[in-house]
Amino acid sequence: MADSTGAQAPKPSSSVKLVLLGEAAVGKSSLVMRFVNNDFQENKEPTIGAAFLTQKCNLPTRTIKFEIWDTAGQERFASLAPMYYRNAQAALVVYDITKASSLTKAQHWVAELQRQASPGIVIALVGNKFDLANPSSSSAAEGEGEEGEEGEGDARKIPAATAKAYADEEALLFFETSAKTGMNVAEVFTAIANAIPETSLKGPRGAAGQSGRQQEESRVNLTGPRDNVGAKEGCAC
Amino acid sequence: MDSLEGTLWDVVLYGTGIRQSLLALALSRSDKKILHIDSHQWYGGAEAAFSLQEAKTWVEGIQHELEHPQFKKASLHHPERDDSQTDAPKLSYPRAYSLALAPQLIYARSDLLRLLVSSKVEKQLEFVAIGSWWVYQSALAPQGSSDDGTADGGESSRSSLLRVPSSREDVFADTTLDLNGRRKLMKFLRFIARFEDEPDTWQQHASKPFPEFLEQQFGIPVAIQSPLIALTLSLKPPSEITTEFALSKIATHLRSIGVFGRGFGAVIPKWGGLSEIAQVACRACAVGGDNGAYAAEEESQDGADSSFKIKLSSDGRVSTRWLVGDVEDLGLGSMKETSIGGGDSRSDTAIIASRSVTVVSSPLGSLFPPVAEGSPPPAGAVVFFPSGSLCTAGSEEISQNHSPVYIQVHSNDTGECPKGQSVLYTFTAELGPPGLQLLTNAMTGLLAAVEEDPTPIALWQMQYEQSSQWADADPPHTLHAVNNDRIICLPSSSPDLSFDDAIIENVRDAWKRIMGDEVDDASFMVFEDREEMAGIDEDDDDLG
Repeated sequence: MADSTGAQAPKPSSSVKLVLLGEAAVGKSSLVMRFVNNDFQENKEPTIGAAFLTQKCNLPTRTIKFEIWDTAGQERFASLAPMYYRNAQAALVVYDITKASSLTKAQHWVAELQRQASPGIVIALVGNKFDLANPSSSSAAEGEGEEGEEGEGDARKIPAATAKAYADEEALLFFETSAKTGMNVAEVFTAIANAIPETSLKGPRGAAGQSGRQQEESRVNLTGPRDNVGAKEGCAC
Repeated sequence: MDSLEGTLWDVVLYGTGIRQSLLALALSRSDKKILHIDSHQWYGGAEAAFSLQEAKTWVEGIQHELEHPQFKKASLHHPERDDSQTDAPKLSYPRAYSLALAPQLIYARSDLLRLLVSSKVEKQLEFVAIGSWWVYQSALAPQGSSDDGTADGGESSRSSLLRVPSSREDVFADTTLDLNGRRKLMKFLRFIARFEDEPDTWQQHASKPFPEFLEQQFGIPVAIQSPLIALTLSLKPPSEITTEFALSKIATHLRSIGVFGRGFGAVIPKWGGLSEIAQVACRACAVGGDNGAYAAEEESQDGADSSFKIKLSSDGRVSTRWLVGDVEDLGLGSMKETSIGGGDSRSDTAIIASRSVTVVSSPLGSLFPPVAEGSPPPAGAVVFFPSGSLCTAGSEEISQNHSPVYIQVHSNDTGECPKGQSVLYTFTAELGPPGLQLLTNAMTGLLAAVEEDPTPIALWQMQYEQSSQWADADPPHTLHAVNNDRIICLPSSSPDLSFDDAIIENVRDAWKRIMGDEVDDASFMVFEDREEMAGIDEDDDDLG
């Protein structure tokens, strides 16, 4: 247990559960891969089964360790398991700026979060695939009805202003990113880390909050050393 | 993205109960195409966990017969409160609760825990300890005399709870027993530590009543048997508990103590019991949502790839090679019921129990004493009300013959209720109004015996009856006709107090049938950490 064996002078460090939401194939996992490994894979397979990734975010006065929970394909369906939202202190809701329907889906997830998650959750709305909005991008627009106003050769369907206006209305953080180039990715996570109130990082957080130190004590570790704690105790032999 | 109808699925998993979910987990790293669906809006099937609002919806579903007949006679109760008293204890908001339909405790030696670790999903779960077992002693019951093994304590004026000793040290320190009683209990504990090696002592009693065995082989009188009976977690009256069953359950209990820490041997998943494990297992495989019942299609059986079609009410037809569900989901017409109590044997009869879930206005801290230095503080306790400790309906006298009652008490450390409250889960094999009366009397007795001032009150209660199907049920005929071998029918959930490792066997069997020759037992749910998780443990300094 305990307080760190690290060599650095201890800066307060807290874990933050962050859930990742958004329509399939908007680049949720790619954003995380960029953030965690500074890596990008062009044709990443859909995510299955990974539990969560962790990555530290160093702020001047504290360190935030993100536990990033991907949706593992469940975003296709109506409801997500409660364990997914439980104690989440931050959410990254991702849409694809080249796909109009993905913002609608993102709005659905924001509403879900407001209904299901802890009241103080920090939500960031992120429009990904900014690289495709660049007019010099090789990908051409393929949709019929151009909603974007960014001109020819631009795959953008959702104007930044539209999403920004929605984000402001719902008090969400807002960024446009590119997991491919890395643009704004670190900034999103830093902004989230800064937006999480100091008070919610310390001590027990009540029924809806995340487990603090006090509740942590009651936790049973299933993977610790088993046989040095006297498994014979109950055998009375 | 695959469309449901356009894909030939290898496996359609119907339902998100613990069995289907564990199977989903077992199959999650295979290359099989899996469609996992549920007709409900929630996860976990009969192992779900509910907020107060969801519980209300669930109860209404049962009342309108929208749910499987496995659950019956459900009702909700909000005791009257005087709202003018602003400091009166109150319920918190509905989502502050996560009440378990299956608050089953899991012994440390259970295969389930080992598999959750080997399949790498344990990191997404939290477990808390079940600490003490208690036996309720009614003030109205006749007190023992000095030659029955109990200490000569005179008449007791109020009901009390006796802590069940879990080690020889505990027995030694137990002041409710006289020297003779302690010695006999010690002898039994020494025996049970390796009872498999001493068949001569018990095998001729194997299928005979356990109380007789204790009396004849160990001279332990009925008056001091209750602590041992309590450890069997059987809903049957003691005279129907076989020696073989009891020895195996008591041995499991004692051998589990110390595995994950001193002084406790059972754990429960935080946030609502088996529901949490089901959710994590589903997540490992990703889950769909089918809104409504489905019916099997008999028309199609394709010989070439031995796939067949099933009809989903919301999503049309899907093609699959395998279909897995439980007895309730695969066919409703064939429910048969035999009313007996207890969860003892793999008998071919249903198990039925009266159940209630009650939110109480007190943390009931005295039921969760620390079990040992350095061990996590317990979040749960088990209270046993033996036959002959409670009054039955319409009587103010103790009945000697009522079914035993168990109450699992969960503190707010389980995440099931807010601070300052606790949750009582009751179980008895007595059905109907007498069963409910028994449960009520047991709860009243418990709340009086904890001696808190003011006496804790029930803030919210849900009651229901739960039955389970026999374990070796065949798929119903309509489905059978479609595809004899490719439909796997899992047993339904039962109102057990502890997780039954037979569930693991069911899941492993199903997994082997689906995987065929590719797999052996040793690889069941043994997975590597995923590459993407590489960074996860590098400097994890906050795991206890």
